[in-house]
Amino acid sequence: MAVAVYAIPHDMGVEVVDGTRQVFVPLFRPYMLTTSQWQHWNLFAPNPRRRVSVFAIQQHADDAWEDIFTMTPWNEPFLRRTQWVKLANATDRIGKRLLELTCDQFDLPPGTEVSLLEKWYVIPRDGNADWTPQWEQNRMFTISCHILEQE
Amino acid sequence: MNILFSKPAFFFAQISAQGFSLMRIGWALTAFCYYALQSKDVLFFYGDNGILPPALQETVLRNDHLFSVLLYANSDAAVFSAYILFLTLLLMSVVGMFPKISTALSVLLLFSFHERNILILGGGDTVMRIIGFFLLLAPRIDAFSISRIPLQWAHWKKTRTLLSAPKNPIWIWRLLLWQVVMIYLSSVTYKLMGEMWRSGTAIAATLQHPDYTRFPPWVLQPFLPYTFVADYLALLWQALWVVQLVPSFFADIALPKKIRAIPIRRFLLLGGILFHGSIYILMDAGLFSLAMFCLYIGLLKEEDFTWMRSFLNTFFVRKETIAVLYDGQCGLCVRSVFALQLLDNLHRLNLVNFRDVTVRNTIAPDVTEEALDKALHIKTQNGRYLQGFYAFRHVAKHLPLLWPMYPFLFIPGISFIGERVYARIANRRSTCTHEDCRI
Repeated sequence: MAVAVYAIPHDMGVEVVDGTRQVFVPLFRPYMLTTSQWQHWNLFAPNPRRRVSVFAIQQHADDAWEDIFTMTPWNEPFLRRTQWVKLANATDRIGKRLLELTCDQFDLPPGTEVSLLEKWYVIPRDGNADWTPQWEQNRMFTISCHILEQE
Repeated sequence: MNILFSKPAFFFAQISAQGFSLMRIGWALTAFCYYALQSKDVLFFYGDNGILPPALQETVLRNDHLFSVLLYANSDAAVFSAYILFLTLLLMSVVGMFPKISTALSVLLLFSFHERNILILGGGDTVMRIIGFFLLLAPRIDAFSISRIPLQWAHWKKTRTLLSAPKNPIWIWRLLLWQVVMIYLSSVTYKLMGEMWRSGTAIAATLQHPDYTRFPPWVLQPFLPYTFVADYLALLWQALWVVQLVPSFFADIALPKKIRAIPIRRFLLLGGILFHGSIYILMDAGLFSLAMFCLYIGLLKEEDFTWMRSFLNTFFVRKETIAVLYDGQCGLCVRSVFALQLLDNLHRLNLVNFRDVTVRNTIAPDVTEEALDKALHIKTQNGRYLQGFYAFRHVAKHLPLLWPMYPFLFIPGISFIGERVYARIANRRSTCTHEDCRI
């Protein structure tokens, strides 16, 4: 019963279904969370992901940005890349934490500006193979390196 | 509902625990490989000095009903120790060393790693948690475990037969089935909410995504216009799982006997192997396909194993009954044939103690006891005798667990080495008479 309620898709736009979910999910939430059985089956749905992203962490030196680390579909195995991309896209604070750890990993001196750059294009919705990628880019976060406190 | 509870057998009929035990092995092996691949990133993902230090945890992790051993591990050393312990327990679960305990602790550690950093989880991780929970709930998951071998051996010594598989009440199997149905019904509902699945372009777009596709664009391009068929078949197959929720008494009333006789669950499982197998071959979607295969194993019942055995016996490796002529007075020989019987999943071997004159004269009248005493002999279905290494090689062809090594037994030079190793063992066995005699 609890699993069935959790399996109801979010925001279906059908009043009865959405209402049922809103009423019953809080009832089963303690059980589902305590047993780590929370679940959400929207893989490749409602529509599959069409955005293709490559990420670069860059440092600012001599008035220019240069790559110190890249994460692309072509240079890292799937598992590591997807986990890393999920972190980069999680929240601002997590994205900035990623940059802090990169400063630490590459021993960048305090004060060095580092930035997370995403370059991306979108695969057409119609599934047609005859198209050319239109790359765009987005500088997601920029921080100044500082010495990390060890917990 | 009353109808369900008025029939205790609906929940408490006993079914073989082989499916759940094999699911334990598949789950633990998959989790072991998956987490072993993360060794470089363990502290980055789960350590207090990694991506989620305590100050950030409250922004990401929920603050109620949260349990993770790792939240109490305040140093990198403690986190890494938990990781090593986790891998060790998974290996113990694979081989079935204290299977219930090692699996339960593995599951708790899996939950702990997941709850410590939920940001990196995907659908496959969810399936792994679900399987883990079912393994915790299942009363018996100890078939195919080394912990059971002493019991099997004691029974086999007395009766020359193996113990029957442990049993589980059927409620655990039904819960698992309903969980799988929920996965697919939820998934198909989500997909139907998307325009691309409805228009048949979802798979074509996904196959062009370099994050997922395993093949270069020029390989897949000719097939893209036809992938709409796969889109709709996938939706249909997922939706068909709803049939599994139709009560049998209703089917008995509403459907003709011929239709009721169709093994729908087996067809759905075969469809799933095709569906998830195709995803696995064409796309890199992480753990999901493998985890679903593990889940499927738990849905196998005794009759499914019988059907698979019959399928393999009919279509894959030609069925053949092989008489294995062993020395019932030699401890090493007796233990060896016991091991062979444990591996004889296709029921091909007929174990014959050649010291029993009557049986020997019936099965192998044309070989002397002296010849049989020198080496292990087998008699194939067409009456051919093989001995020593060549007997072992022939038997290996018929024991599925030995199939991975079977091709290697034909490498040039292996038979030369094999014969000598076998001769050495055979000579050694003549010096011992008790069952504890070691090679």
